[in-house]
Amino acid sequence: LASDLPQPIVRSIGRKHRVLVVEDDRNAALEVTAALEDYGFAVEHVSSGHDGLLRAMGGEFDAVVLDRMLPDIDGLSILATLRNIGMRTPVLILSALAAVDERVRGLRAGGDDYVTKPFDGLELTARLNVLLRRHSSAAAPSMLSVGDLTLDASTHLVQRAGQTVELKPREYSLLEFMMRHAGQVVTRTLLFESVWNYHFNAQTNVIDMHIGHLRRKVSLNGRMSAMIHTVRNVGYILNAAD
Amino acid sequence: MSAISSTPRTSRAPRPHLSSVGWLLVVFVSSAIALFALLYWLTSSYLLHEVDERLRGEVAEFQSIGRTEAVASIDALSRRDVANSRPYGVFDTNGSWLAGNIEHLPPEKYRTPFDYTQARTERRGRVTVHYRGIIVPTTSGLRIVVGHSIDEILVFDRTLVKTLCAGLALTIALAVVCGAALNMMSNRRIRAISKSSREIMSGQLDRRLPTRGTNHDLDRLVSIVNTMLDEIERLVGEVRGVCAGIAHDLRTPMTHLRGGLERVRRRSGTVEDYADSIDTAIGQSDMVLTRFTALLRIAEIEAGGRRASFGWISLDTVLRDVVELYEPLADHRGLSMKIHAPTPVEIVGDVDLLFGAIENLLDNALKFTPSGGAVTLEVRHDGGFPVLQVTDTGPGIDIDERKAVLRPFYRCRGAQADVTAGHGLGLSLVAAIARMHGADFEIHDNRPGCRMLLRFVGD
Repeated sequence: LASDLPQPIVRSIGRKHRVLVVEDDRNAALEVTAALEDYGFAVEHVSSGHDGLLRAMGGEFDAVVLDRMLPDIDGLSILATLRNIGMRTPVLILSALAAVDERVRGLRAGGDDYVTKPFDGLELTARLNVLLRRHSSAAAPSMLSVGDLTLDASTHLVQRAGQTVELKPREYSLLEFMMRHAGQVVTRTLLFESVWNYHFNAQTNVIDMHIGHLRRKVSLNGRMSAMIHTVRNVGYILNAAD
Repeated sequence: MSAISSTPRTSRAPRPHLSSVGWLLVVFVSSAIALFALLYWLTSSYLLHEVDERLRGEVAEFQSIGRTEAVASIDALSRRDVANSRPYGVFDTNGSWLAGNIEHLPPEKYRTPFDYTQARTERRGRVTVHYRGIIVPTTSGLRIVVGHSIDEILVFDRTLVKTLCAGLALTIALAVVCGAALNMMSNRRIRAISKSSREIMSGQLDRRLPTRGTNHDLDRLVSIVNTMLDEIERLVGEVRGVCAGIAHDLRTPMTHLRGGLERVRRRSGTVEDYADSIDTAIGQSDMVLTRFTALLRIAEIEAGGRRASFGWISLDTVLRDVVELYEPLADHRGLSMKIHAPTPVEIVGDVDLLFGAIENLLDNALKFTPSGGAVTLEVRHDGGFPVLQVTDTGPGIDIDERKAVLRPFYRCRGAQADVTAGHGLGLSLVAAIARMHGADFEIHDNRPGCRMLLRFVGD
């Protein structure tokens, strides 16, 4: 298992991302903190909405993980306040309310993503990474390159070691997403939501097949290294070197 | 599992009060009494009024009569009244008798009819005769009294009272008997209904309240309650099925999980062995979690009606997206997929849930269609309603199983041994999403295969 997941931890060399966790439930807070710290985030935890709002307004965090239901102030009110005073820090809402409506409400209130409890640590981290990446590079670079794989977002031209890779539109979107998050584990759910843009638990074996096709094309039908690796029970990772 | 476990609360002793039949009886009897009293009063006062009118008319003629003329005509009139039924009398200003068969001037007000009696000797002895009389003063200073016997009216009155009382007694007796009979009948029905209710409450959910098939109020109420009981029985059955389904379905992966963990614990191999076993265990627990997530999703969808997430969505676009997602799977299975969406079809709904519904329909079709088969997806307007249809060339679903397949964890008899069978929640999820969107979920025969369609008929 250890050999499967070194990348996220290695990636944390350099400045650690600072994440504020606002969560009143002790067990949930411990779980979130542990998961985030495992994957290289510097975590600060507060257990009340009041403290959470004050700390978040300080603006020293790269992201906020916000519980939807807090004893003093409602999570969505905190979010609305932050957005009203012009704070653009990415906020991931964490909630036990799984209803379809709740996600819509959370995102409308200015949340960047919505994860329901009980959650998977890796899923949470992967999503947080996506948020951070999206936030830090407002103007996404149009030329992406990972090792000898290059992607030109303006012309949709993909090349592997100088050879053009012909991709279908959806395969192109998949590859672009994976290249923008190279070195990070991306879960199937995250891939599906980001690339297909539907929020529904798709049958994961279908995603596997799309990745399989993409992997074959990126490796130039097996003549070169695969680059896209399956992380068992979790998702995929795109790496420059094997 | 007992869905209705609470025992019925013992009702407190009700305050003594009349039943509805009792109230009806009271109202009926009092209105009968009032009606009979009115009849009596109107009849008797009409007869007296007739007499009074005649008296007034007669005395009006005497008002301006001269003295001698008055005495002469009264004398003549009273002579003619042999039966003494219409007596006359004329009196002086001081009240002394001048002529006629009325002997005394009654001490009554002038020009107003009054009652008086006079004793008379007849063959059978002295009798008291009742009269109605009126006094009028003449311009010549006389007092003329005109009388009219009312004995006949009094006799008629007594007969009328007797008849009315007899009628009233008969009416009341009839009402009481009918009321008691009605009361008894309704009590018997209520007892029968409450007996059945108790049986149902004790767990015999297949029991129904007794009906007579008439259009009676109670019958209509009973048939409403019975329809409600049908629905409750269905829901309880479904809950039981789900519970059994969950238990049955989760036991298998949990047993594998436990067995795998136990095996690696016993063998205590290398770190790689452990890592491998843990991965397998994670995979198996993921399977359990997936089922729980699907179950929760169904519950969540069924709990709510129209949501904030609803908006106008293009059904054909969602359909194309699902098909595009499933293309590799269809290729892999050697199946052909066709889309038939000649015109854009828009509905109000939740785009993610509809994606899920179409995905499950398509997944189901691909799963059960043998290699070389074809799956066709279609959106169209049919009878003014948007319709989404997925057809396949698989084995189809038996007509008696078409309702059952919508139940969570139900698997078709033919598919039981099939390893490709899913978690048995797909079609339940589609049914829940359909209900939420006010759509009918229909399953038809495609000969060969199955034709499933969602007809968005609206709320």
